Amino acid sequence: MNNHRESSEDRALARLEELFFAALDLPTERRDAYLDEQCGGDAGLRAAVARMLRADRGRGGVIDNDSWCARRLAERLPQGSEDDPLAAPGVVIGGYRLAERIGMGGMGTVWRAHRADQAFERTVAIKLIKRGMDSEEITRRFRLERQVLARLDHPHIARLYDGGSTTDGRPYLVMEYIDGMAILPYCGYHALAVDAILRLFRTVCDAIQFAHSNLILHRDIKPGNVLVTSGGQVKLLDFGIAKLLDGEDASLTMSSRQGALTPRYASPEQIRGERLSTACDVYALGVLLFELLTGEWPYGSDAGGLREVERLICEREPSRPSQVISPESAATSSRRRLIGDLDWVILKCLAKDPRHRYASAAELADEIARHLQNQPVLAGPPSITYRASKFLRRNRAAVIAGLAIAGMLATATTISLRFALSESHQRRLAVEAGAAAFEQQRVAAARAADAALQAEIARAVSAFLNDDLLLSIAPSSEPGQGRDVPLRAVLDRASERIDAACAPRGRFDGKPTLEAEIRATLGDAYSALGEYEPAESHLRRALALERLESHGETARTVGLLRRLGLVLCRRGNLDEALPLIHEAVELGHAELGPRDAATLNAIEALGIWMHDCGRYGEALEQFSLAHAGYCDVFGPEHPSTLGASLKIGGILQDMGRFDEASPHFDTAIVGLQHVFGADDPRTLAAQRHFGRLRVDMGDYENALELFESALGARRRICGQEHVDTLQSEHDLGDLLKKMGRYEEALPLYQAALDGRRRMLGEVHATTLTSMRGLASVFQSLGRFSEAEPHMRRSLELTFSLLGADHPTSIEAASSLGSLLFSMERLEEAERLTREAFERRSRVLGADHPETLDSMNNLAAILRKMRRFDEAEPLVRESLDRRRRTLGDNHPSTLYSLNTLGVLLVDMRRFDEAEPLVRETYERRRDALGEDHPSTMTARMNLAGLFDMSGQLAEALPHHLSVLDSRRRTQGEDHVDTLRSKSVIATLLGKLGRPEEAEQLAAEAVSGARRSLPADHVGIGIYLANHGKLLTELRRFDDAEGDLLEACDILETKLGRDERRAVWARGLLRELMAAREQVQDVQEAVRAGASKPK
Amino acid sequence: MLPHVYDELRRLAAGFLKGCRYDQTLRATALVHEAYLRLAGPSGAGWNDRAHFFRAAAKAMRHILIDYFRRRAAEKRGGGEPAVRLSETAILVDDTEVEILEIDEALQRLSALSSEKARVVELRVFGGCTIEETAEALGISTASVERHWRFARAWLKSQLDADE
Repeated sequence: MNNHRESSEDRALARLEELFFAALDLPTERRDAYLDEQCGGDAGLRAAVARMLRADRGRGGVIDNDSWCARRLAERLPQGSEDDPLAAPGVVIGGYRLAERIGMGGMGTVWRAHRADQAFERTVAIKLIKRGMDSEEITRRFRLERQVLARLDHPHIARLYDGGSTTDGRPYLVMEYIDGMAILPYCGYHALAVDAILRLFRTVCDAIQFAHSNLILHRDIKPGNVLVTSGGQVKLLDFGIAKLLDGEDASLTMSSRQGALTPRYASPEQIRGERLSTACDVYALGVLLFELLTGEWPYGSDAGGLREVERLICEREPSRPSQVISPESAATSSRRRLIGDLDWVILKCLAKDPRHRYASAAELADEIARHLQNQPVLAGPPSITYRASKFLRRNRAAVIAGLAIAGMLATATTISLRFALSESHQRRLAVEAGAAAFEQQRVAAARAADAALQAEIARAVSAFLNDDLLLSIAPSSEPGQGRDVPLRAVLDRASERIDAACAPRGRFDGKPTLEAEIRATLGDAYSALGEYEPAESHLRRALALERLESHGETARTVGLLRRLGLVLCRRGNLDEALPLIHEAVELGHAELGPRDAATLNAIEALGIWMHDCGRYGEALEQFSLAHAGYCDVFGPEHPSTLGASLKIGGILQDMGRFDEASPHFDTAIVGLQHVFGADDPRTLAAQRHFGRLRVDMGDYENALELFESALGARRRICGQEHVDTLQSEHDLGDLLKKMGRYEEALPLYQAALDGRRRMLGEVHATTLTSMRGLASVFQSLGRFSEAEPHMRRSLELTFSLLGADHPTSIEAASSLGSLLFSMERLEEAERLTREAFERRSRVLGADHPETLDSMNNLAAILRKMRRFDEAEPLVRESLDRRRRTLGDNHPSTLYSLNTLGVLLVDMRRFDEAEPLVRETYERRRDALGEDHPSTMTARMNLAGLFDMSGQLAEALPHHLSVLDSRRRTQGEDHVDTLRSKSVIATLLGKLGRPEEAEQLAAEAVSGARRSLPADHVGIGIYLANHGKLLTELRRFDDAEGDLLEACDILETKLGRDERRAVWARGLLRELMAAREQVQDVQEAVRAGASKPK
Repeated sequence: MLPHVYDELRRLAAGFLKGCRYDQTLRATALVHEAYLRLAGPSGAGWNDRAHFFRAAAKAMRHILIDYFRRRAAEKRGGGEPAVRLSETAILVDDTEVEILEIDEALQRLSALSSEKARVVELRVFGGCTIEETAEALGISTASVERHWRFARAWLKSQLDADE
């Protein structure tokens, strides 16, 4: 829009406005004439103004409300009795002035009222009976309520203060005023998770139980009588029709109560007017819980009028809550909890026969408690299947869910997987797993020519999983195995059985479609467990069978190609994966269209392949493509869309584009929280990725918070023995190690390793990762003798598991190289690193980030070996390649730049080095901030450059600034802080400021003694530095102590002939020499003094 | 900041819409005000000012509701994917919702003619703002808001009538 040019539309609007307001200013009868005159021949304009003037007069419609939502709600509130002079604001009843009507029921109105005499401030609720209903019977019931309530002193029951009759004989009650919201809207308003709803509900049960134990029934439990305060406190209102359990008034029945009861929540016996017991409250609690969890009434629609509602309550069996949940709400993963037990618990409450319900509210509360703790509830069929599913859920909740999801995705129909869980549960799992694939399959299944075959597949797969997989590990079938059946064993057993079933004359012999289905399911399940080898073999077989079928479903073929491709990627077999994934993408495009879920999944898989190949730019394109597709087809908050956001964030992170990555993670996390809830494994996994981004960005504090909260959440939700919890421990260990908090990192790695060993076995990729993590923290602590065996074992097992050429195997070899480098066993380090470099060049290609890592590491080792001429071309090449593939600002590029700068310093080519070292520092500072560890390292190097090239005064401010950052961000005793102190001390010594120098050097020593093992090389070096300064200050005795200890540590740890050990011995000799010299001088002075003249 | 507003409003709206199903005594506090209190807290932290918040919130609210009703309307016509946006209990599409959608369309046309008038409507209708709050949010006088509002209201209503 151009602001300088007024369009004809603008002019028309201005004219319209002018006429409108001018006409409004005129008396109504003169407007027509005015408009005739003004509009001339423009009939359209005249009509428009006239319409607006008409509209201006009218009231009503959405727009005439400040907040239509408020209006909309007000419409739905019950209208009060219009002309009741007694019930109006300002009227005083029993010393209270009515303020506002807050409720309206069958028997009257409820008012908020204040103490009228102002003597003290008190807000109460006054329940005033309706005119025309003030029969003797109701009056008597009110008196009853007063007595009854007076006995109920309970924190979750509203108090009764007073009661009486108005001047015209209408009874009223004065009750505690509860500023709360009815429980149903409360739960919706706060979007409470199922667990939170259940906890609230338990409190309701407790309050009801209290009343029951006082021999009082509520008899009118409904959402409007259960309020929740803003503080989350439950308050039960209105024991309006309660009566004493002792039966003094058993004659009071439904029909005589004239509709005072809320029929929606009435029990069958209430409707039939039978004698009531606590079971009638239990029934109403059941209805309430049903509504809380599903938002629906147990008998479907209650729109049929009173008689119809009563008939439904007495005759119709209630729906199962889990079947009522609409597909939208099923997207909330927490609703998954609503299976099995809760169905049974609620249905037991709703039994038509009171004797079949829970005997008391307390029993119901206990059941809820058991469910919350994942223990079997008493209600429900005590079948093997049930116990098995409960057992599995308690032990391996997420893994099983993953298994079921994997299975669901692999099958052709909506009903194929039983998994000993209800059908509706499967449906929800499937929805959660990604409505994408699910819908796709549903449509495909519907289209399938051979419906009978589909049904057969469904039945067979279901039976197989039930009988061969799940029941084979049900606790009752093998009591000896108890809780510790590894899932891998379950799958292995299922694999054996499918092999048997597919053998000649087996169950599935000659039924390739069935076999394909089941193998695909098993393949996915293995893959979900990280067991890629069997996953591959099952998926391969499934794909082969699928291809044999002349009328195989395209979507299924595309899905199998993609999944097999991804498994091959995980196995490091990138070359073989590519043609499969390509075929999936092309087949999807050609036959399903670019917008199809299966095609989009395949595009995403291509992105993953490119990522694994280190081709980040292309991967980003694929992920973006998939993301756009998902977003168009499924909307921005669909799990697939959010998953693609995460991948985009991840790839940007790998590309070093941290600031761009951040919002993608944000979007994904916020979306996942919405769709699945904050505690859902997928949400937590996304947060984990975000935490790792924060780590890369050097924002350790924030990352620490994220990781700690993730670990807490996972411990709470999954328990300690769960793969996700263990992963969180490992993550936190990684971070603490990075932060230099080695002692804290150690137990976390240890726990992750132990847990993974137990759950996944030792020979599992993630177990071996933890083993390397533990080794690396030993390495950082200088506890090399403990680090080495772990590192070597991890390497050997990784080799045997994945083969020598797998990227993870190479990574393991590389880690050992790094350890040996720290141990100064440079020849061995060189050999391993060179081998890793060569393997990576071959397997991943010359430009792959990991290949370049190896190249740079090799250069660093050669530099340490002072083979500068060999190191230089390597580091230059890695720098060039990284600049080209990753860009100038990528952390890895800057790492190479740094290595080259340092190398040139070593070679004393200061003039060449300076611009490189400075560039490293400045780029890091601009991208990561002054306090990022990498920035500090670069600045240290810049200072070191000045130091070595003799520009001491230039060096000092850089060093001091780094020390300041380190003290602030890493703490006084962090090894990097200590190193800074020691280096500055040396520099100050050279600058002729020995006192300051000595003080810093002493701080370095004492800090190192606090944070490092007693014989750590670092301590030796700091001691030596300190000793040297003490020598200069002529504090020879102190110096001697330090230097002797330094020599001892360095010679023991590094060997007598090591450079630094030799250096320390040199310092000791200098000390001796200086002392002798001083002594000589002193003796000479003494001798001179005593010499007679 | 906007994602947080959006987030909070969506939660409030979901609860609110769900609450509409039941004959309960949920007080009719405008959602946006509620969200402001929650997000800003007593100190009003995180926002330049209330005006900033209300502008953002009204826009977000409009987006949320229109989006939701559009899906609902689409579902009612028998198409559309399951709504995951407001994922709780479904409510029925009623005339009010249809009207809201129509207003939104008319509002888009008005916005092309006068963005300031459209913003006044957005704040008043979707943000639940009073005349004074609207004036504060847009940094114009209450007299101007009143004039804009009266004109826009009549214009929109006449547009809806004309559509029929």
